[in-house]
Amino acid sequence: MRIGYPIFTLLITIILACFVQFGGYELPPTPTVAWSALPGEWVPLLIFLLRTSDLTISTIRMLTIVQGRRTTAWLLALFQSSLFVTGVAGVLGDLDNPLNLVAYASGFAFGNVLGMAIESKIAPGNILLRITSSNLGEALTMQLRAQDYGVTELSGLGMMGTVHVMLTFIPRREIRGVKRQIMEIDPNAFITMKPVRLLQGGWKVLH
Amino acid sequence: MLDLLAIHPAFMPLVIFFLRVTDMSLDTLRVLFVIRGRRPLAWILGFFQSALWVVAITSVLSNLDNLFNLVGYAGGFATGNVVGMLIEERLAIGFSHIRIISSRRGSAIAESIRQAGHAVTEIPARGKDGTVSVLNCSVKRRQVRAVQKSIAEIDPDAFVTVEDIRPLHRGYWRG
Repeated sequence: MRIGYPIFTLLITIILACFVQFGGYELPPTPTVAWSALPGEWVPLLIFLLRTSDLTISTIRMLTIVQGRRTTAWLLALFQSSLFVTGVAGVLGDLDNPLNLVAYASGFAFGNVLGMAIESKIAPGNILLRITSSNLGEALTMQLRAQDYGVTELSGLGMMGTVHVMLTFIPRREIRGVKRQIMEIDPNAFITMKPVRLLQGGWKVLH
Repeated sequence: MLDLLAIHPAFMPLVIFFLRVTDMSLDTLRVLFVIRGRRPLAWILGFFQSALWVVAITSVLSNLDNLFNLVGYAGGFATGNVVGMLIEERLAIGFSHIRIISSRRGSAIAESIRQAGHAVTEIPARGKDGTVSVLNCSVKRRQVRAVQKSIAEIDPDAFVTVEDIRPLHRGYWRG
């Protein structure tokens, strides 16, 4: 099991504890940002920005957890919690005026959306496209294969007769381009996609 | 609230680390169960996680005044994520759908999976170089690894993907 890095963190924590216990070292204070030096009117904006950045990282982290990307989740969590303690927590306490509360809530909401947007821009991993076309299946398959995508064709029955069902496994980043090409050839094609995990094989792996 | 002041300052980072690992692994498990639609489990985990949060983590948060405690906190937060994911993978609750695309050995793979007691649906299809088989096979998540091993033994070139499913109606499941 690849859990080397969490164990590594635990070891560092233990070693630091030993230094303090037996070496007589002084504990250095946690560096925190002194937001209180800022003029009061900037506080709502600051709360908004900090809450946004915190929630952006948190949302991306959630999405990496769901995709099972352990190392990325670990690194994001490390970064997020350090940022929270040193920067964000310092200003979140003063929610006594309504403007700050609004900034807090909207930063929280905006961070969620921003995190999702960033994740779909980065778009790691692959996805399975299922394309159903009533009569232009051949052309679609040729077009996709010409670009080195692996395509498996199935025949299906629709209301008006035989249809083509095509399965193709492509990088998430390339969805937009592939969709545009499909639409150019057959604007009536029915396209769905779903996240799948690759266990083995695949056209790109073989060639 | 826990009285963390009674603990020797040297052990504080460790205590914080472990409290945060426990809290975050429960949280990660909860998120993963919510996504899979396991309502009772998500409820139980949510209950314990928030209780732990109120009792332990709030007292931890007021004790982050030195750098080592911060290392313990951030490290525990990050490690808890990974631990939660590992536990969920180990528990492997639920069902998976395996899709196998094999150019030559489709029927042999289907045969071997059936021998192991799973149900397989074979669909003929076309690939770039001629006829291929698409095999659809739904198994319990903890059986995925064994099925994949038997596929790889027969056809190492097969294209195999797996996805989480929620069974809606019947189906043939090996216990």
